[in-house]
Amino acid sequence: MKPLLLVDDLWVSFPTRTETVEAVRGVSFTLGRERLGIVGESGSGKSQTGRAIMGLTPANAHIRAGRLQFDGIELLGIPARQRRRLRGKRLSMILQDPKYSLNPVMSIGRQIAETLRSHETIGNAESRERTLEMLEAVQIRNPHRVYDLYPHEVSGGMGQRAMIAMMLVAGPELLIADEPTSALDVTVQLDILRILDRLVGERGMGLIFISHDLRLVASFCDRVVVMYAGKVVEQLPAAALARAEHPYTRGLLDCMPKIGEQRHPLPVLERQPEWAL
Amino acid sequence: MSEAALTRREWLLSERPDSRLQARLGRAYQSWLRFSANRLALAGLLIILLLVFVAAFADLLSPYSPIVGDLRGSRLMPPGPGHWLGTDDQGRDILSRIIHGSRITLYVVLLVAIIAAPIGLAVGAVAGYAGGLLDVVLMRITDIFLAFPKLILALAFVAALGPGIENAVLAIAITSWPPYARIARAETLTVRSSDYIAAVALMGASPSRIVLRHIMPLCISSLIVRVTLDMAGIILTAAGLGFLGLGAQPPLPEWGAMIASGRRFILDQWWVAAAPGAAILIVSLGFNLLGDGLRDALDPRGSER
Amino acid sequence: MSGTGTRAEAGRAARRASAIASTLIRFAAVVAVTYLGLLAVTFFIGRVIPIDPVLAIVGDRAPASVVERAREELGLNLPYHQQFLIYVKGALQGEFGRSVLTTNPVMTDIRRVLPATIELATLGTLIGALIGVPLGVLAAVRRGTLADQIVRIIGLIGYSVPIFWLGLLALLVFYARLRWTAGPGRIDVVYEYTFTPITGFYLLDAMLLRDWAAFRDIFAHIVLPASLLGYFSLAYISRMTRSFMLNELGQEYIVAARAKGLSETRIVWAHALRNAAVPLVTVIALSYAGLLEGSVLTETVFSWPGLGLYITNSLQNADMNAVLGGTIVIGSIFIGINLLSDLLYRMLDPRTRPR
Repeated sequence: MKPLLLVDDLWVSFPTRTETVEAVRGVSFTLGRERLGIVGESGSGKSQTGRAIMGLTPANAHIRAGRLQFDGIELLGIPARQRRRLRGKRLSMILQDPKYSLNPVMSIGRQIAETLRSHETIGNAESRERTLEMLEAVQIRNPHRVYDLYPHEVSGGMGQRAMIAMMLVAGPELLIADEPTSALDVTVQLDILRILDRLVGERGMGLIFISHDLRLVASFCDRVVVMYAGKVVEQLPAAALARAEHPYTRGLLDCMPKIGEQRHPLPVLERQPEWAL
Repeated sequence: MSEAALTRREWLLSERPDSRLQARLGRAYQSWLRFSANRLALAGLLIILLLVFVAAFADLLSPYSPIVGDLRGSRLMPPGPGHWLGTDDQGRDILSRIIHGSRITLYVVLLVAIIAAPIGLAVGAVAGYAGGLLDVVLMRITDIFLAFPKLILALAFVAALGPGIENAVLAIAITSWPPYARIARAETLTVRSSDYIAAVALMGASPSRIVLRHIMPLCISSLIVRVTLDMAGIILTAAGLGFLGLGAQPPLPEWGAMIASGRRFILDQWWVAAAPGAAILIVSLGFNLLGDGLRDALDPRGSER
Repeated sequence: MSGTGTRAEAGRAARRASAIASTLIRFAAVVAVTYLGLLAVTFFIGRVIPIDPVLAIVGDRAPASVVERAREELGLNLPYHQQFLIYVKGALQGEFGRSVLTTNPVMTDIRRVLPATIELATLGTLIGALIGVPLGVLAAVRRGTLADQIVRIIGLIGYSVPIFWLGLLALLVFYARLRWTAGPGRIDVVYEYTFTPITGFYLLDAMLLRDWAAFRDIFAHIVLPASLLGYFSLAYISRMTRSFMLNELGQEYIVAARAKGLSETRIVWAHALRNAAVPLVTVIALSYAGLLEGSVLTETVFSWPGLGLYITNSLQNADMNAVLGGTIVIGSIFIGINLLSDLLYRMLDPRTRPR
């Protein structure tokens, strides 16, 4: 069976006035209708990998790849217009903080309906109805009221549900979630994950879950890709995380506290320069 | 040679300066690097340096007297050899008048800055540091002045005080301090609660000393940027007052007044009014370019605002 | 269930009403204080600064008894705070004394000339906003390209050019040499007697009267000064639009809009510009106010019979009542515009609306 997403030797670089910064250096992985976690510290290139797949890399950056295929479509080879039609409709992305990623002057309902209207020719009534259904699907209890609220009028958890609704309403096959819970209160993080988990499962989507939280990724995903300095340093099934071999992954695992264990001094991640080579 | 330059550069860009002087010079050098990478800003700097040069050596540079003309032989002559920018209705060489007019422009701009900037700085720093009722009252006054039509108010002031260049300067200064007060207050608020101000206060410094020695100096750089950006506006206002006959009085070669006197001949001897206007345009463009460049160099974060 | 819902709704409505009321009260207080400040400054200019306003009226050779009588008539023997109260009371009733030059009450004169200024400034702002906003958007979207540089240069020149000088040159080129437009003034003498204005806004009046010949003539007169003022405000508006747009285009919600698959056109105009419009309202209001006061210079150049020309003519004749009356009227309009832009700002930005 051909994979949903095929990433082969992806490079993303940003030229600055003095030098070129390589954010992603030769990343390769494949994805079926499964959950793939990408883990790494900030600056490891995990977010840029996600944005490159979406086609959201800033205009001044250079992208090249051996292959970057979504459902057999070579993403780097098609015109921008066609690429745009894929976004939101067949692959979409959830951003980190609903406080910034929702348009502050547009009501939540209209923002969700906008996704539908830009991909399908549907009338007012139908788009409203499907938006309300979607709001219900992300477990918003009073969708009619929330429809007309503005982003600043709702909590972070509610905002992130709206974000999920906005990105899933057109029924994409692949979802990239870029730190979807990092900006939220710990108490609502689980709610959001549960909603995400259920929707991804029900709809049979592929999911790329980008996070810096190894434990969270391990519990939520089928497979884990560990990135460091723009490269994939290790790729393994989530269940096999305990057998990770790369010292960086081991270091990350060792940093997790365990209940009932005395550890003095606390372990510190000793970075080796050769990891970045 | 190149090695020495390299080490000097390295010394300036060192991340671990040995002395306060080195740190300060290093920061200035970095600002300069950012500034000089901007070609338009350099052009602005060049224009202003040229203005200062021309004003300083006006007597040497101008080929004729700016005040006394040849009424018989050379009235309203078109530009040409002898009179590069032509002559006016009193037979005076326009180039010479423009050269001498640069002194008046510089005088006005500097004087307004010297009067208005300290007023604004003092009001803003005191309001920001003192807080409470004093802050409210001072800022209310500032806002009232901000809501006024500046040019019209300056006009009314000059009308009451009587026309003349000193009164024009005073009127412009009175109407242009409020933005500086706002900036100074905003800067003061950001440093007021910082630890080192608390440390100075703990060491027994009086509030006036804290404001004068520790807060005001921090406001200077953003104030300089704003004042430079305002210079063009000051020049235009002064020229406008001169144009209306309320600024410098004849026979002083003030550029705005020169345009006003050339207005009568605009249809046939257009150069009489065109030349001083071009001078105003170039100089205020220079200040705008310089101000933009300074803002980008001194405040890389706010450069897009 | 529905009962608690409506009770909550009612509570929300009450909170909202009280929030609106307190906002209005705050607005009113600010306006009142600012207006008082304006009057205080003009009072200071008119009464305190001159050596002696009485001497200015009766002349310095008048006998002492005449001076004293004039002083009492003008109320100048009263202490300053009482004088100020009288002054404020007069100003609130639109009473600024008589103009020495026209012998009319100043307010009558101002009412006659004000429409000309408003018409010119409005048209100028319209031109400035309709061209300046798209230019600023273009510069932001094409940041760093040639188009961006050109918009920047256009703006910088607009910031730096003395407007009265540009007006003179424009008259020289477009009126005297090319004969594309009409010359100074609002309307040709030919129409002076056949055209009877209704509102004082000549373009509007000509349309109401269906006098298309006059309309064409009025348009030919206004197009040059209005374009000039338009350029002036375009410089400011395009520059601010560019910087607001750059700020908005760098926000995360733009990334989200792209991830939704929206077209660039929609992202720029419906999302980024809609957000940039919030601060832009203030900028456009400020530029309108700037044009009103710039009228002092433009109207002189174009012999435009508006408030600016009235003020400058009065200035030249030391007619202080008229000058200060005009200053107060323009200042009041400034305050009104500030208030209006504040209200509009609140309407455009849901975050400032009371919940």
